[in-house]
Amino acid sequence: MGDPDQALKQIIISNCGMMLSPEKIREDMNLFTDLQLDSIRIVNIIADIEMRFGIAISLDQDLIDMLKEYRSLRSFLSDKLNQRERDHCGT
Amino acid sequence: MSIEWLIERFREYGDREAVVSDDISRSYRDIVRECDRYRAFVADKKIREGEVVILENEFSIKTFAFVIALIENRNIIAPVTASGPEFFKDYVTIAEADKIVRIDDQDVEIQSLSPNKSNPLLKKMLHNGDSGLILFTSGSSGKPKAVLHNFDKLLNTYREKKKRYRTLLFLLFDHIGGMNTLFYTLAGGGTIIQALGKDVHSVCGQIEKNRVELLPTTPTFLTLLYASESYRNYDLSSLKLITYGTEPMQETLLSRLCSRFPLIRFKQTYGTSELGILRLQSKSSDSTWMKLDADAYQVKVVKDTLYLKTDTAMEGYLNAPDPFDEEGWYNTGDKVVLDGDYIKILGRDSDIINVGGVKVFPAEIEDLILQMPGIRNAAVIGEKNPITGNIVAVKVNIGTDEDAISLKRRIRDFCGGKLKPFMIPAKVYIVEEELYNARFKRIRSQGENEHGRS
Repeated sequence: MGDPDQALKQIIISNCGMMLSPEKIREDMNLFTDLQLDSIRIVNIIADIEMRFGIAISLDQDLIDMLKEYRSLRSFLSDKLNQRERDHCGT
Repeated sequence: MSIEWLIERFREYGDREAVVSDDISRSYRDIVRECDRYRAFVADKKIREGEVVILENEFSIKTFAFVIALIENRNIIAPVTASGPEFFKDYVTIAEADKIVRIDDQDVEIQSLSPNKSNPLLKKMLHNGDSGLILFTSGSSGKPKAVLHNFDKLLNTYREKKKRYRTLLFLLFDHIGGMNTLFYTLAGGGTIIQALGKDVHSVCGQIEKNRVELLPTTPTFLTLLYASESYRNYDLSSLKLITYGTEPMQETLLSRLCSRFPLIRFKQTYGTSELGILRLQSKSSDSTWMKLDADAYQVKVVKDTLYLKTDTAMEGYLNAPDPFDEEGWYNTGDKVVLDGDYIKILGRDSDIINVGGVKVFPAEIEDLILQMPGIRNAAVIGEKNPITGNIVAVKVNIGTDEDAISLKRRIRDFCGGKLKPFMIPAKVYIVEEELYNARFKRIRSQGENEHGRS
């Protein structure tokens, strides 16, 4: 599975309510404080990730930790997609 | 109490057209004849007073005459249409049914049972010598409740003669709305046109062919009628009145309907299986504000919820606790706003989605989304979410191959500025299955991640 970086950044940009280029989203960016995302924008980002990548993010996952840094969100998503690919290949 | 007055009316109406079904016209004289026949049948089959009879049939002149014969014989009647077979065994048990009857063109099939009789409400009805009506609520979640009415008391509300209409029997025979259509029309000497199909094309075709004047229906059906534009292919000029109830009507839809059909009067109805159909007055044809008849009902609003007290209320549930409080008030579960004597229904308490502590009414969002091009129908639901408790999601029927991501973007753009951000659906599911049930009420199944293209 390819790196979901660009698609993920597009999702964040389309939901953050400000003019932002993909390069401005740093690995260590805190999505809550740096982008000042409120709960509804966060909810929409998660929903868009689920819809775009066809995955379900379960309610017991520690979303707050995951969203603290961009890199942890990306890493979570990569793991999820790799896992799905492994499951799909039956390995 | 006797229903001789109703039979007398039918005799008086004589050769006037009473029922049209599948191009066959029957008069009131035919109804009287069928009543005589089924009266003899009830005696011949030794159906005893107080027995519970499940009538597994759609409406026909025969089933109607059989119902009349059973009322005269002081039976308790549970009509069940073919649309509810999944719960049929439960129905038989809950109603403590003595007989199951199926009537077709040629024959009457009757099955006798030996139930254990223990329900105190049924015993009381037998003791008092009253006839009863059991209606099973549609119960979108869990098992349906069985509502027991005193049939004589319910019928007494139709004694006052009203305006005569050629009326399409759109609502089902086992629904309080369907029963109301039937008795309202026939007690007044009007004509029942049996709806042979309930899709928009069939209904429009039947209106044109039979010169229907009154269409009692639901806001969901009117949404489909408006969105499909099928009405353009039919002559609906006979229609004088459309009544709508069973779920909230959105003002923008009503306003569009009034503009599209300026010669038709739109009238809201309000009723529940538990209370019967209540008389009310709308502010105007294009208004969803209504005033209940203060002489007939007592009304109060507590914490935005409508409570009612009425003489036509049911005797009780056969399989659930008594919902009336000590003073006889019934909590309708409808959230309302008030303007003087007028009330506007916002939605069912159970449909409300709590997003971060703020209440969201699905109907308001559905109304807006239905204004978008390419959307055939929409049902807004709540989904659990760890951040806001719940989020708003929407299931939609569309007529194109648009994908959910693109549609969500369109919905977000369309609703932006018109709805508060937390009301704009965070998730969009494109589904194939229809979003309404057999009673043309919108299905809003809550909470699960599911289905469709998303």
